[in-house]
Amino acid sequence: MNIAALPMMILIATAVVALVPSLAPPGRVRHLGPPLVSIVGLVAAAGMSVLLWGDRQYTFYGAFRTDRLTVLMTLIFIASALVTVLMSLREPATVDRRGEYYSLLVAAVVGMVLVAGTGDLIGVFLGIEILSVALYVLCAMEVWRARSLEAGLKYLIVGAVGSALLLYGLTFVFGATGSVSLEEISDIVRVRGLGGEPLLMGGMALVIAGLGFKASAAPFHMWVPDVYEGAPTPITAFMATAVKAAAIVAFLRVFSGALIDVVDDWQMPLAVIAALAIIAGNVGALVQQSFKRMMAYSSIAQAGYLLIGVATGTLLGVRSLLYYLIAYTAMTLGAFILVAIREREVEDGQSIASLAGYGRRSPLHGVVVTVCLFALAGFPPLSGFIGKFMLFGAAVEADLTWLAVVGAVGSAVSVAYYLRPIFVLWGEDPEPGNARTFDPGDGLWVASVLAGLGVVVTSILASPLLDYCREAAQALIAP
Amino acid sequence: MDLYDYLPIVAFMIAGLAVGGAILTLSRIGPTKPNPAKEMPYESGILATTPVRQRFPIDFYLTAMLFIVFDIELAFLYPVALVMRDNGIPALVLLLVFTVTVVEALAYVWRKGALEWR
Repeated sequence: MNIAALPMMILIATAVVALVPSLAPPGRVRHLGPPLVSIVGLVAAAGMSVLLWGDRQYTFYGAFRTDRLTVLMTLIFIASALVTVLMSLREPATVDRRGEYYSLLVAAVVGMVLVAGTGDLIGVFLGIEILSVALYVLCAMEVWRARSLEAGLKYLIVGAVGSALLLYGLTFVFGATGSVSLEEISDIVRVRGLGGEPLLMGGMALVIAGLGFKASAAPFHMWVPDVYEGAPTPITAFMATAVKAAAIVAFLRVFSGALIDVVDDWQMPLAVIAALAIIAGNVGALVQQSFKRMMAYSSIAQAGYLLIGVATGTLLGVRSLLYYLIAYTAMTLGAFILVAIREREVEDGQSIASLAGYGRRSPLHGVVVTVCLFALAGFPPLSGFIGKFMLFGAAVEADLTWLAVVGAVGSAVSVAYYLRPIFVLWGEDPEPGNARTFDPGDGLWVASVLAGLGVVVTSILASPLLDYCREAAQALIAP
Repeated sequence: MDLYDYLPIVAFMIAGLAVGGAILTLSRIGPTKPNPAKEMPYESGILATTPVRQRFPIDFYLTAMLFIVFDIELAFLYPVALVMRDNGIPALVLLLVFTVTVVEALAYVWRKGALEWR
């Protein structure tokens, strides 16, 4: 075990230690301990990861590989978790369950880092399971709300189906190639010419289905609206960003990494799934009244755009995908900030209508949400536009022009539902006599600023970020 | 790429579908003559005196789950014990990390009162 395992070790230690302050008697230690430990641990792990940017290193006897892609994804996961921690500081769910909440959040990040840096099929499954189980509990954290319990239960059942399909598919891939190590699989597939081999194709189909469940891609998206709507809002933001990124990197590691030589077998199914997700997500979001449900459908569509990058199987495709993933994380986290505040003030806080005139009352949050929604809709010169432009360009370059057209049309349609909350936000005045006033506190303020800065920085610094993404993509595809 | 090799799998799938489908179809189209003696749950011949589905304390479930976790921990300790002598201090350190994690879980469970029987 060498230094490359350190970020994951730090995160595991954080998850364990974050539970300890909650055992203290009620007081400052119990209240501030877990979030503080989580923040310190997450920042330490992120710092350690940045130091590991470089050539590939192996640890745990080849089961864990740290290359540039691992580092990039680790930073994305940790950034998402940090903003979620900041958003959760005043959440009611964390009042008596503080230790569990933050510990499970960091444990989910551990699973994600494992998926990003795994060297074999077992790590893919293990990482997906760790993050899924942690999230099943996190979705149900607000036990006094039936919606939250329902979300946790639905996620558990559907997630179990997805994990079962994933595992079955991975065993078929192992059966067809004779090895679990991703590098050996790519050698065996190339040397023995396993294109069209029925066992491998069956395995790939099941893996696509299983990972499709986790990545909320259509036609495996049925659980997303209910789970996203019912879960506590910071957890929804976390799921929409980090879990999706973890599922996408699992796709990248297995398909664009190990099975790249049989790309003709899996390119069309992934492209079709991407197209279905774009259509289903965009059409579904148009009629939603609840902001969280709208964002759930929008995240289905965003999973479609991300899968375009996987389906291309080219370096440019992976590079665009990674850039869009960074940008998407910042945009989506920012978009949830307002709902996190509003749902504590008004009974109907999740609906778009309840945001009426809020932009005038809290200009900072209003501006951040506006910028994030514009970026999600793909308006130039924000990072959403740059990312989508590169993704569609990569699709055209890979002879998937029809997919780029579907993506562009979907993007055009999505403007309708992304801009509606903006008009409501800055439009009519709020009704007088709103229920309780809620002091969001510093955590949400910092989270808001971070998300807004994230969107702006990814837009301005697009070129250097794209260079880093290219290096990470090369690390993926290199043997 | 010899598809003939997969014939046993296909035969198995067809057999499974056929048996399941046959049972399902027959249950729909077959004759139905319900009768109190047929509807009662089977208790090896005696008559059921207490209601069959009763509520039971959830502590049973909690205790069983905790048992599973610590039993698995024990199962992991055995292989480490076998190779400990050859690997020395590094193995001990890793073992301690693992054990401390589970002991911390025990402390948490203890403190939260999950070990009390209600």
